[in-house]
Amino acid sequence: MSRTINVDYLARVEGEGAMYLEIEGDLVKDLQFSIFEPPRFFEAFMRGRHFTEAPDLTARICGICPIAYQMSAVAAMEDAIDVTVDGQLHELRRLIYCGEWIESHVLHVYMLHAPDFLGYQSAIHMAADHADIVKRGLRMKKVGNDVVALLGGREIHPINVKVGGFYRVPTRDELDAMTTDLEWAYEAAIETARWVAQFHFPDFERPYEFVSTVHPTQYPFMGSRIVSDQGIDISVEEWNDVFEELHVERSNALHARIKARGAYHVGPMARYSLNFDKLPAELQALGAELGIAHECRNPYKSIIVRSIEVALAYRLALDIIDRYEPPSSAAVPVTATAGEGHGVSEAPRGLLYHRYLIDAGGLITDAQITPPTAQNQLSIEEDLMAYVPGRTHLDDDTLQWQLEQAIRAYDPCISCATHFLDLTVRRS
Amino acid sequence: MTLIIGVGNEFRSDDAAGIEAARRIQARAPGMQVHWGEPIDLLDLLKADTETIIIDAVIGNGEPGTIHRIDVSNSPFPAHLHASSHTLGIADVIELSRTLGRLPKHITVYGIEAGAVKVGTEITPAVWDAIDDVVVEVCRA
Repeated sequence: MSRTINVDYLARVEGEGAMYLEIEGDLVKDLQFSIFEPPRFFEAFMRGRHFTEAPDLTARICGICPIAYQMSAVAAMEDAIDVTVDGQLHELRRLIYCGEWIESHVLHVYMLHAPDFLGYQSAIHMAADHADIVKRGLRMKKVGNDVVALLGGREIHPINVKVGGFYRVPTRDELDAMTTDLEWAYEAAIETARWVAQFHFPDFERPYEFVSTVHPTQYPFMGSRIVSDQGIDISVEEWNDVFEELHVERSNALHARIKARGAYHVGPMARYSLNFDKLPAELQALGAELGIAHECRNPYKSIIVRSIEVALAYRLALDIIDRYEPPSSAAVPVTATAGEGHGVSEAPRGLLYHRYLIDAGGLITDAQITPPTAQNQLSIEEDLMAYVPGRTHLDDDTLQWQLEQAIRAYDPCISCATHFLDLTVRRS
Repeated sequence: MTLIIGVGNEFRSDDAAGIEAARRIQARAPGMQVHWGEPIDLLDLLKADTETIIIDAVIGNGEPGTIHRIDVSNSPFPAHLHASSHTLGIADVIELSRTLGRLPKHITVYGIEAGAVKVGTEITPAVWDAIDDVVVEVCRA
């Protein structure tokens, strides 16, 4: 007997893609997770542009994580022209990044992933029964929007970030005005983490190689080194020595892999597991209370990790505002110099790598953009391959639901990236 | 005052229609309150007592450039029209707002049928014409 499941598109994934799954008995015969993506378009689009345009142009790659694209772009450009942005300007960059993690993670936790666990088709169906919870999520997200709007000039495709710093920095009063909301939201995030930790999670862990940016003292937003839990410890410049992107025929997207070993995993679980010691003590204690002390290898539990990272983002935002002293200048001067620059930062979904070559006139001659979802593609496929055996007794609807849920656990941003996700499961 | 919201992705060819229309309306009628961006962020903008017009590309059964004027104040966004490529699309945001009691009493969606939604910045000529028509109609209202 053979059975086929077709789904027109995978709901609640940011963007579009396709999955094909063929099962024979209890074994996965074939599995392909494909995304049809535009980073190649943007890489071509960047060539010939001035290096100072990179933050504004790359911000438009994704409506959900424009700050990540801006931050990796400015890091790469500042590396190319040998400029360092530190002190309060660096802190303001961390602050706007806090806003983006909040916006993106809260959207995912409340609107996209929680409905899976509670058995709802969508956030709308969930809101009918849990209006107060959904309203809490929307209010938490709004606080993130406000941070991005103040620092970025506007919420969508922020325009205030530039190579060297910002066009305008906030006043002390503007930041102070946000602290009441941030304090409320921090407590709401802790309640959120405790709420999601009560969900039922499939018993499923995987021996991922976690990869994340690291910083000597901070939970990472931006950093100059990249590490893994299986021995990678490299500078950003060494990216292409260790990682590679392969073109796979079924997908327009490139699949990233570790040259020596293959699949790896970026995103909240990787950050959390590699940087647990950089979390404030109270959030380490919260992780332990919720059953994920030190690390988390169950992708379904990534919703708990995201919630803890949301709490962290509110906490860090409050700390940065508390210590804020308006810098004397909104940006350090930048001058075009021919060179190559590499930059990484931690998008909500994981590590985002940019590399640019610029000429003496400051024009971009080559661009490489490796988004987190392209890096997680092999890992997503391996999760699905590992999940199906032992669960083929599940009916098609249940299996499909759990597989979609597994894909959503990565919060794949396929629109940085892509087209509708067609899910096909074929059984024989 | 009427709130005008354009939705879309300006790097996804015809999916830029809503954003392009909103930009032009803002240029022609500076007094109007005009926003553009991701549908999910519209939730913060929608208020029961503010008349609202949303403009977005849609994928339906008609010819590219076909304009659908849909009053969603009291009935849901029609299922046969898929609004463009977003996590929570316009239909989701409207229904979520309705469920939470935040939907404007008067809310209209202008859906412009997209021809191409491939990656790129070229807009189909028929969609350009439709953008012109929607801008004129909204500014006249």
